[in-house]
Amino acid sequence: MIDDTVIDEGRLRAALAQVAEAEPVSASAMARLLDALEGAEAEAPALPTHRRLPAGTPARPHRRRVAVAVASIVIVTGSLMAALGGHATATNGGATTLAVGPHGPSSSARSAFGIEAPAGAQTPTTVATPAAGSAAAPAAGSAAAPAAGSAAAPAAGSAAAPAASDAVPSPADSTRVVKNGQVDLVVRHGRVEAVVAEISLLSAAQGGYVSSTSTSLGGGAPSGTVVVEIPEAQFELVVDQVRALGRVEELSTSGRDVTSQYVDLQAQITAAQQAEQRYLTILGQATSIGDILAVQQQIDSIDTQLQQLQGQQQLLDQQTTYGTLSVSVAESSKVVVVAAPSGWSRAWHNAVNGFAAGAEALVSASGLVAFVGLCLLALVAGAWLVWRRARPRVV
Amino acid sequence: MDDRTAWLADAYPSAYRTAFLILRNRADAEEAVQDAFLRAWRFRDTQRQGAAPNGWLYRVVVNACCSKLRCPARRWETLADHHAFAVVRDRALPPDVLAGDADRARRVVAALDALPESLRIPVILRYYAGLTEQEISLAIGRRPGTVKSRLHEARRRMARDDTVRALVAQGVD
Repeated sequence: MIDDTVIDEGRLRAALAQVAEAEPVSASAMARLLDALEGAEAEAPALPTHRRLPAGTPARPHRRRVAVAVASIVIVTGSLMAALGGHATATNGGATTLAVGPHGPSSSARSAFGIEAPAGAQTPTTVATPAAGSAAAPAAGSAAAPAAGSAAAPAAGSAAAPAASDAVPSPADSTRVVKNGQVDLVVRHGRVEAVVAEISLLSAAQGGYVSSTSTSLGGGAPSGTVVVEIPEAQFELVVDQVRALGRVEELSTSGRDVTSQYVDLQAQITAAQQAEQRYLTILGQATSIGDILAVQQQIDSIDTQLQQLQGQQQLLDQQTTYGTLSVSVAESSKVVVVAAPSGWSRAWHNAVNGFAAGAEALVSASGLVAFVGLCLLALVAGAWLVWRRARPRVV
Repeated sequence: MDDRTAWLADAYPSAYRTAFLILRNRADAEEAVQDAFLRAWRFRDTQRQGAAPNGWLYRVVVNACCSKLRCPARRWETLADHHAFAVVRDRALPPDVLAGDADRARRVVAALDALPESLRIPVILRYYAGLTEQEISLAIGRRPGTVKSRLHEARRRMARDDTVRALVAQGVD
């Protein structure tokens, strides 16, 4: 409980008067003051009215307060400017990034909304197909493909070599090209397996065969990869047929001319065969065991070399007879909108994009706004403190 | 008698005694009042129009006193002189004052001396110098409401002293 008893004003006044009035006022002190006043008047008359110094307030502390206030304002303003400068630089950097960015966000946004650009517009297609010799096509296609079979690649070996040699045209009148192709297909939902089977059938129909196949139907995005070997003459035809099975995301074909390499191999084989023939003749004329053994050793060596060369030739034959086409089949995750979006759809997408852009801008600007707000708050708080301190208070 | 002399004769005794009550030291009080009057005279034309002249003069005086109180070199002297002030306070009462009144006055001023400066100075200005709350507000640089609450707080604290309360009660009765 607060005690509200207070001392009586009259008593207080009387007591103070009693004590104070008992203190004598020194006449000499008054006289000294009078003299000092006269002296001060003579030295420095009363200050003019326009120099209104605050009465009784020492000048120096007041100046110090003003200096502190000015210094704090300068410091806060300077830091604000510096921070704003830094942010401006950062914004420039961000703009540079954004200038690069639109391809990413816009394409991702499009795919998110199921809008997919036409294949030709977005995916650069590199088709580098050297003109294949027309003379080489018919014989190789019709003769070699059935012999090789549709299930597996032709077995390489010395026994198969003559057959392959017969199947391919002679190197003198043809150009040997190794063809490769890569197609990325996007097909409708649930069509991956069917498209992979169709590609296998297409290659078989044109005398080709399936080299490898893999299909993944689990998970969120079913996909498959099939690698087919297609007779060189039918390569372009099959590529066209495969392209028609879905939407092409990427297509690339390449051809490597190996004619000189093939001719070189052929020459080496001929030379080796001739050498072997000569050694066989010498072997027939040899009489001593030592001669026979020495010649037989040479014949074995040449035979080994000949087999290696013929193996290389067979491989080259295979590569140039059949083009390798690798097809990746993926399922479109969203409904493919082939037709141009309607006005309502476009408006909706624009609205969503605009909202997202606005939200992004708001979030990115919030840092600056918060910083400026904090600085202003600090400035106001500092000014208020300075004002409070600068307010003249005696006790 | 010129203006200066008249002003001095009119204002000096009260100002000096106020300073004496604040500083509790004769030499300091004379010095402070001299400084204050010189300053007040020099800046007599700079006081704000309409401001209470009493409040303005006492502001200068209180400032000068507070400068003395805050001066570290003089603080020890002031403390040392505090005993002398008590002697003066006790001795100074005129013989014609009744013994009961004298004792009561001593007790009251002793209770006043126990207060902090922020409460003591407004009390001296109000109940000795006779300044209004508005003038005290100008003199100490605080709002009139603050002055009012400080005066009340000072009187309440002084009344906490049982002896003072008994004496005052006795006096009132």
